[in-house]
Amino acid sequence: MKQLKELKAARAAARSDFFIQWHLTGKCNLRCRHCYQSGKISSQPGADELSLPEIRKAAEETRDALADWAKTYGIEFSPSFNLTGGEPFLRGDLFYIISELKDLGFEINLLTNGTLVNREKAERLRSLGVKAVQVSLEGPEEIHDRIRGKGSFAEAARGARSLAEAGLKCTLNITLSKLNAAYMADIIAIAKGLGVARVGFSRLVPAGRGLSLMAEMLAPEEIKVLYEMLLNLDAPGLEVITGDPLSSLIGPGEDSDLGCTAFGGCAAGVSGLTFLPDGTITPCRRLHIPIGNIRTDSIREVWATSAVLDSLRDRKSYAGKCAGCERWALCRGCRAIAYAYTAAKGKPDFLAEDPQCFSHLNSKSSLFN
Amino acid sequence: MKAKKALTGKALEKEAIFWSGLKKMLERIPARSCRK
Repeated sequence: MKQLKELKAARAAARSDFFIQWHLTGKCNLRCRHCYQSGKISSQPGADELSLPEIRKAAEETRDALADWAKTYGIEFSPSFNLTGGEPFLRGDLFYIISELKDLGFEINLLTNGTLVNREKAERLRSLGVKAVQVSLEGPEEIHDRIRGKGSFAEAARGARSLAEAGLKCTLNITLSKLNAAYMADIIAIAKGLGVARVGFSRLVPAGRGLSLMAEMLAPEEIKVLYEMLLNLDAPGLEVITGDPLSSLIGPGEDSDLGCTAFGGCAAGVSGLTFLPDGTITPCRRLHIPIGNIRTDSIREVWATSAVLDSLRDRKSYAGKCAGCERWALCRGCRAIAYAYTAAKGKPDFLAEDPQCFSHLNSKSSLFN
Repeated sequence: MKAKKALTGKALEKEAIFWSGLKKMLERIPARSCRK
């Protein structure tokens, strides 16, 4: 049987992340105002979720695909599963799932709202070898509860503290919008108080319930100021991270156009896939365009032949300033935000320009150029 | 889940084009991707 260690045996100079964002359940105990999932998905009680044997089989197929790619193309992969929901702790078999996936050699990260985490569960996650846990936190108590529901701050904070005290690498993740942008200093202070290792941030996607918050999306200039501040923050003992492609715009520009091969930035079509609770495969967890189903379709076939993935990799397919940007290969903006934003305007286009891109604001006068 | 067919023909060609192109770029500049 193929083992993940084969991936490293490829001894290649080229290294690539490859992750599966796995929504194990659509069930959630919160009804956050900004959630990019629809209320319908979240309220379906366990409908047609992949069973534990199906999850194992899909994970084995992922492992085999990665092993084949590593061996055939000489790329060293860092494969991981990011497990989430809905709320993943509402899957009664969550610990069994983690154990199965760990047995297959994958790095496991967990994304949770934190409200159902206690010390015992945190210890169990640690003993299973979970690498990191992300807890969503939107600001100080009043702001958080306004977005995620009354009482949720206290529960999430308790969960995050339990994770940190159990020795797990815990990240507080903020979804940035006008609702909480003014509270970054409070969040840093909360993170330090809870003893977590990292603060992460992402942007509001105006889809699902988040569609009603379109007016709360930050303007490009606001995003630029926030990112420059956050990514240059001097907070000893606290790491500030983001996966936002636009973060690649902070810092010096490129000497020349990096070309037409996508290899960094947005992971859609390049370094990851998402599995939904019923096995539906999408390019990204926030980009709800079905490209297959893990129950019936082969990962390698989907990866190689999906027209949606093809267009995500094709610079000529892009519209607006993303198409002409010298950092296209390293960024491409957030395809999910582009899609949700254009859909809200009545013309859905996942290849449209990222409406919050601030590249046009980068100039010699910028703090970090 | 039913058995899935192995990748052949045009699909295999497309796979090779994608990973070979990506590999070339990764050897030049290490990538940092969106994980969220």
